[in-house]
Parts: sequence; structure tokens; C-alpha cells
Amino acid sequence: MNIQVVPSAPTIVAAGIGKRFGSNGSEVVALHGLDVTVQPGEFLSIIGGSGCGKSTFLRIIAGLETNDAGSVTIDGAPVRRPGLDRGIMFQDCRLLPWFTVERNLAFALTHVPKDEARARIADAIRLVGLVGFEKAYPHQLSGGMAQRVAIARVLVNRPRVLLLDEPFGALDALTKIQMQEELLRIWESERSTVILVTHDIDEAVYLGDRVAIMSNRPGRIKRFVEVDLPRPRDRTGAPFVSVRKQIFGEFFTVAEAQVEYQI
Amino acid sequence: MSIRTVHRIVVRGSRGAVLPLAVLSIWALATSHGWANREVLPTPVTVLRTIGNSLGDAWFWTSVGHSLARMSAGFLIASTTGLLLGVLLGASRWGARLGGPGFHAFRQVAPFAWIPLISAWFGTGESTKVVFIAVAAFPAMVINAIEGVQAVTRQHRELARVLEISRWRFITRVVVPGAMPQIFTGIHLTLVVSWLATVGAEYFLQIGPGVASILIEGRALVRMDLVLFGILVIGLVGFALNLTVRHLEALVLRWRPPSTQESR
Repeated sequence: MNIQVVPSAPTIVAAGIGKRFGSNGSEVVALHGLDVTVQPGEFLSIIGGSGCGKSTFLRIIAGLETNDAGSVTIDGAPVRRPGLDRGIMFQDCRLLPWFTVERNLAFALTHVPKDEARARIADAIRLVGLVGFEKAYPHQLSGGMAQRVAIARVLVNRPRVLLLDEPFGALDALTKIQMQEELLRIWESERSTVILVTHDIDEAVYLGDRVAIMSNRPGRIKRFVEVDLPRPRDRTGAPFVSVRKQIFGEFFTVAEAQVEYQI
Repeated sequence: MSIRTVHRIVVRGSRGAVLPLAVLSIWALATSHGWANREVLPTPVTVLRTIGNSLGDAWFWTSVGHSLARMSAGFLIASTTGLLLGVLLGASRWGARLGGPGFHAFRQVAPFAWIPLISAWFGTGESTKVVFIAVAAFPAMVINAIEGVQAVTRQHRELARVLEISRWRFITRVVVPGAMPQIFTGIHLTLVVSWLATVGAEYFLQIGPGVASILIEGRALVRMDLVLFGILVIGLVGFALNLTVRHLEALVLRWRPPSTQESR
């Protein structure tokens, strides 16, 4: 595998982010006072329930939405609009249905000379394990394969930042686990700064260096949980489960076993 | 051709033939039992004889050729200008504001109402007919092109922004391909209207050789077999055009998932 390491991953600083939706009196405060600093090369998982604003926050960093308050900077430079420096993966993989896999990847490389583009496409296809499917149309691919193409498309530009918006939400549980492994494998050779948004606690703990727990209405980060476990992580091991339990406890009341004493 | 393909064609062909055969039988019965006046409804055999005679007649084939040529010219003008205008009106807000009301007003006018004006401007030759066909068929293409272009989703728009796609590439590689299914509907409709307008123009303007002259002659000589033959020819040409577009569509739109493709 020959993907070159990205130029040094940046620090992402979000300070006091606020975002409102709606107007004329009926407003929804999606985010308020959201602060987070993502270290270079860090994998941050953001977990929260539906409607807590986690996707909105990610889209602000991506440049697809604008924040009403606060600032987002990447290595000090403010985020103004979307760009190739931030690769984003959506939950609906958003492949263009009229292009083959190859051409979908080429579509992401319009600013790169043809020969270079061809080489990067070949590398990316090999990396995500889709050799032989270059000429397939998206409707011929399974959900997992389509998401792999989406991963490849995000990687061909070697972005310094990876923003993942519930990328595996539409997949079945087994494929999801496979894809998480793939993502981890690729990330460990790239080491870009990653922010993953998910509602899956297992996913958040398995992938992230840190888990940010978001609260609902207004959306802000309630708590950070360090996942100080070496990779590859054992999903069923005690340390993993104890981290998971901390996060689980933020969303649900954990039934404690009652112990009866007898004298 | 595999045995399965042959089988499929035979089965589909027979299914399609059931209704025409039923009509044919009723027709034959009606004429042989005298249920209808022979003047008004000729026997199938008479019509068959007419068909046989006409197919050997060179004049028939040149008429068909003329009609097709006329239709193609009108269709090409209508589809290309219609596509351009439709993309403009659909893709740009200013285009829609400036051109929209005018186009919609134009569209409300029944095509035949344009004939006096067109004949005054273009004379009594071929150009009048071609212009009329183009004018009649043009709105169908525009409307479908507008709808196709406006169907570009927010998701695709965001994708293009995130990948820093130039405006030109966005239109040619995202908007137009995405609009293709709807554009093909437009092509279909434009072709149908073009053929209709061709026959209409020939019939009402009554100049030059063409398919409608079979109808005109049949009516003048009170020969219903000619009239029926004319109808048959018009219908068959329409059917053949339809089939051609469907094949083309299947080729260009082969990226579509099978459930949305028409079964053939």
C-alpha cells in the first residue's frame, strides 16, 4: 500500500460555537457554547442522541453551514467555506449514480493532473479492497462496497482533516464492524485529524482516542471521556466495557444489581 | 441470439399481438356480415390489397421520406433550442425571472394558432412546416429540461462544494447527467409532438408530398381503405420512433438501477 502520509495534521479549535435555525419567532437553538479542541492527529468521536446538533457541528467545521456565534479555526485559520483540505463522508455515501467507481473517484481529483490522478485512484481502490470493481456503477454495489468507494473518494485527496458524519449508520451490524476496522487501518497509516459523529456508543469507543458526549437542546459538549486503550481494542474486554459503561451511563440509567445481605 | 432471448421475444410479441388480432377479427366479422356500410368500413382484405399496392409504389416511399425529413428537421430544432432554454431557465435564477413569464405565455398559445403568422413570415414552402413543427414541439422539451435540471439534489450540490468543483463541471457532470432521465422524457414527448405536428401541418397546409397526402387522397376519393392505410402508416412510424428512443434511452441511462428502467 503506497498512500503517502498526509502533510502534518492540524489542530482544530472550536470556541463558543452557537447556531440557530428558523426565524420569525420560532427558532431552534441547535448549538450553544460548544467548545472543543482537537489535537493534531487525534481521533475524536462525538456521540449524542438524534437532534442534538452533532451533525450540525460537523457541517460547520466542513464549511457547509455557518455558525452564528463563536469561531472555528484549523491551525489558526478560520473556516469560511467547504474545501478539499477537509474530507467529509456522509451517511448516504453520495456517489454519483451515472459515474462508474473509477469516475466517481476521478471526480474528486479535478485539480490534479491526469497521470497523478490515475495513480491515486488505483492506489485508493487497492486500499479499500475494491480491485476489479473500477467499472461498476453504484447501483451494482452493496451498501458496504459503496461506503468503501466513499472512503476511497475521501482519501484520494489526502485531506489533513477527516470529518465523518455517521458514515456507517446505513449498514448492517456486521458490515459496520468490518468497515470500522477498515477505517482504523487506513487512518493509522494516514494520521489525519479525525472527527467522527455517531450515535453508536460501541463505534465511538472502538475508534476514538477521546469521546465527546453531546447534550441535547442546546447542543454542547457535556463531558469528555478518554479512551486510553491500545489498539487494536477488544470490544468484549473489561477495560473497553468499563469505558463504554461510563458513556452509557450518561444516556441511560444503569440498573445496579441489588445485593441482599443476610446476617 | 440465445434460445432464451428468442423465447422472450416470442412471448412478448404474442402478448402484444393479442389486442390487434382481436380487433382484426372483429373487423373481419363486421365486414363479412355486413354490420357496417362497405363504403364506410372496407374489408380487411381490401385494405391489405391497398397496402400491397402502395408498398410497391415509389411515390409512397418518397412521401414517407419527405414526412420523416420534415419531422426530423423540426424535431432537431425543437429539441436543441428547447434543451438550451430549459437548462438556462432551470439552472439560473435570473434566467428564470427574465425568460420564464415569456415562455409560459408563449406556451399557452395553441400551436395551430401560429400557422397564419408562420406562413406569412416563411411563405408557402417547406420552412413553414418545419417551423410549425418546431414551435409545436419545443415547449415539451423546455418543460422537461427545466424539471430535470431543478431535480439536482441538495446532497449533490453539497458534494460539489466539498470537492471544489467548478461551476462548469458542476453543470456538465452533475446537473445534466442527473437531469438525463427527465430530458429523455422530454425527447420522447418532443418526438411524439413533432410527428403529430408533421402530420397536422401536412394535412392542414396541404403542400408537398407527405404521409398525410394518403389521408387527403383517401378522403377526396371517398376511399376509406386509403384512409385506414394512412392511419396505419402514421401509427407504425410513431411506434418505430418510440422504439428507437427507448433503445437509445436504455443505452445512455444504463447507470440506472433496474427497478426504474422500463420493462421491454
